[in-house]
Amino acid sequence: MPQSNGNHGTANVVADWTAAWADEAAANFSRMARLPFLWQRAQNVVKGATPSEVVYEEDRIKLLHYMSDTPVAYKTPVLFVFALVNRPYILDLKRGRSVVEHFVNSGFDTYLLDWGVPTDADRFLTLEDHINGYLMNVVEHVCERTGSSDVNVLGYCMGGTMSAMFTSLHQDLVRNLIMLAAGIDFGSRDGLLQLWTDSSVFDVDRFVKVHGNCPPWFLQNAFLMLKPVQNLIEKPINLYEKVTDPDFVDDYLTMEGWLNDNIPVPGEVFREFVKYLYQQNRLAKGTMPLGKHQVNLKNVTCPVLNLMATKDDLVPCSQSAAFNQLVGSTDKQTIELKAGHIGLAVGSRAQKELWPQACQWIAARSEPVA
Amino acid sequence: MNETFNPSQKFLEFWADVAAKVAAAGAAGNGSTPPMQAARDVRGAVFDAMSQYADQFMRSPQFLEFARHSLDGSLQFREQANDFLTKLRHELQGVAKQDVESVLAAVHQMERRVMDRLDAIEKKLSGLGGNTARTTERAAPASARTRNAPRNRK
Repeated sequence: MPQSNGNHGTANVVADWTAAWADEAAANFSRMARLPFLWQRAQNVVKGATPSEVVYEEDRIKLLHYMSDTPVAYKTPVLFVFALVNRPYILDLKRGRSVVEHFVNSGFDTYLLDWGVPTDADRFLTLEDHINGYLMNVVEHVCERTGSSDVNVLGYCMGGTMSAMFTSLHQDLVRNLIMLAAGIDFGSRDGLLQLWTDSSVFDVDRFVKVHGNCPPWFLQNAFLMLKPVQNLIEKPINLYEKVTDPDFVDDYLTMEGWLNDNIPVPGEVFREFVKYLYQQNRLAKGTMPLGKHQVNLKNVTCPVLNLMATKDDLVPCSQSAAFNQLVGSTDKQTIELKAGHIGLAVGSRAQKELWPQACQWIAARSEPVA
Repeated sequence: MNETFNPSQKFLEFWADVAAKVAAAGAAGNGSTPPMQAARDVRGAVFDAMSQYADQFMRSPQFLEFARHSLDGSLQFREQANDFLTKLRHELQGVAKQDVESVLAAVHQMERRVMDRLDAIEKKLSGLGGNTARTTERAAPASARTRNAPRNRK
């Protein structure tokens, strides 16, 4: 007697699931065999993709110049300014995931400011020391070295905030400004960091008095806790399930290597950033003190490109978007990408869509070499 | 920030949300969805719900209060440890971290005064129609320069 459709369908489902579980068990054996080699692979991760040379050093900072066979097509060089909380090689992470590579291959003379690793001796350095001191010296050196009267600046995250302040005080030195997930207006309560750094929760003066420089483990754990389920549960599970994919493992280990490569933040810089920006939102209000000066973003009049990530938990769009309204520039553009804070730089979509667009934008506003 | 965060209510809401998301994930699949993919979709739905509630909890007044107390406690412990170590080093006639920081602060202060004076002199010279070189607002901190070479330019 033929079986009914229902019993036949159920039997198929049971058979399918049984087969799937058997396949999964076999796959697990294969995955577990790969696990012991992960540690060794992690030690062999190469940091940085584009050849570079150190062309300027001052105290702990280094200025990297990227070298390429592509001839320089534009007179105005590009200077990358990263944050003080992580190492800057995220901008040149690996081949195919490098922002620097795009600019170098587009014919720009490309430089990157590596802030170095602060020691206890740097405890009292302020934002002004970094912006009007180190950054100013680097920009002057790049201008002197290239023969250009100004530079194109690309600031990422806290580096973007610092680049905006620098540009407002020294507009004549900046030809074009690209802001990449840079926090400017900290007035909203979108991001968890804004809640956690509120003056009723976080006594930054006491923290800096006790610790001096902000220790790297403090910020690393804070960033982890922004997305605890993704970072502590989903990511390891994802790694385990794809451990047999060598490209995935290489990307994962490279990225995790950078994420865990946090550095201390000079104490006074940390105090000023938390107090004046996160707690008092002074930059957006036009009352941000920088030494003897007061930063007014209206003094930024160069062309501005504001790049934002819509799924950014560290610097929500609401923190970055206000920049275009606060500057005095007439040529200003915004590009939003569906990506996270780091994905905006090294994600696949950013590499394919965003960075070619950004290079075209800056090329259209740069003087070509005669 | 949540005005109130009722833990038991949120607990029930969380599990109801998980059940709803799991059901939705299951319904979204069709007969041709591979079994393991269906299982991963359900797992993803659970993690989404967990993530959402974790975010809500970390915005709640209870969590912020806990964070404040936790940080205050660790800072207090660290302060006491620092004070103890400073006293111990002083008793042994040694140098404590606090002493080094005082010296660094003094050097930084001195550097600022020198740079302010240099800025004032440069402005006077510019006013006299002297050097037309670009005015630098402030040079890098002198206290941190390398001893062997003032600037190592390549």
